[in-house]
Amino acid sequence: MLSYDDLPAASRAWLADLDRRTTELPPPARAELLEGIAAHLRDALAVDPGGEVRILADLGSTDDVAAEAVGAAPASDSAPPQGWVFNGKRAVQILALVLAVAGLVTAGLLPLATSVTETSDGVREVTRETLLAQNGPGILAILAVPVILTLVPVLLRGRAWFRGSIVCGVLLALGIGPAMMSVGFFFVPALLAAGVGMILPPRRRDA
Amino acid sequence: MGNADTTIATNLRKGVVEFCVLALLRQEPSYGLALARQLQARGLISSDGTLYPLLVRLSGQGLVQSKWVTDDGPRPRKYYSLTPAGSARLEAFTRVWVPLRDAVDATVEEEP
Repeated sequence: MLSYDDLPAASRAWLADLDRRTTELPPPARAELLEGIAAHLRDALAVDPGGEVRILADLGSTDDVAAEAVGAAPASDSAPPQGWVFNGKRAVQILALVLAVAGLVTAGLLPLATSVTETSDGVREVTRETLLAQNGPGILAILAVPVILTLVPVLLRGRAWFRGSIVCGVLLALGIGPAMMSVGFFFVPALLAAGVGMILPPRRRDA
Repeated sequence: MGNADTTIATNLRKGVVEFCVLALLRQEPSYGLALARQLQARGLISSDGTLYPLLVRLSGQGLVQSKWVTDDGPRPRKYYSLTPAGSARLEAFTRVWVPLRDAVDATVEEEP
């Protein structure tokens, strides 16, 4: 945030609150907004040094100004928010991550794999074991791929969020599709959630 | 002013206040506080703070520009001025607004 150390505490708090409420704005527009209002405060306080409370009251609530700013931001209708925001898209992507972790646990750590061994005297033994036990720790690296591909969109922000969601969603589908009849099956719920998260628009108002 | 009056006024202001800002800046470049006071005095904005998102938008559209002026007092001041595109937009608004306003006036003042 820009520095407003020369302003009184209540004015700094007002600006800090507005700053928090306008994370959706592109950074240049956000800086211009705060800078303009800070200049307004400096001019108004120079005229009436003891009138901070009235000056802030005349400015209105940070909520109203932020709502006006987010609605009025250039290209804000098409551009994604710049900061990390939690909305419907993010919630669905977090759900996809949880489902991917559940898929990893189910596929890797539950005794779902069947192996048949035949002893020298012809007795067949059927045992159930985990993929981890059957394939070694290397299998976890493979099973972790869907987790990573659902984790990345959760962490991204700004334009990278929109683009990264698509890239990860496509990679997830390409990875899970061919393995649908084996371990890929356990990641289908995660894939579906990631698909929904991929197509949801990133704007906060869609939350 | 009742609730219905306030709602009507708010909605109407939203559509025209940006052109009022352009019109004020056509007269001369101005800084935020002065613009806010002029607009408040005319009842064109409900609070000073709502002016600044509007200025950001007008700036983003290339209709106004701003620069810091250092020789106008003890501190630098951010002055806003109209761009050629802003002048053209204001002229277009005036062409539309005047006949529209006259038509609305004539309609609402018509005797039943």
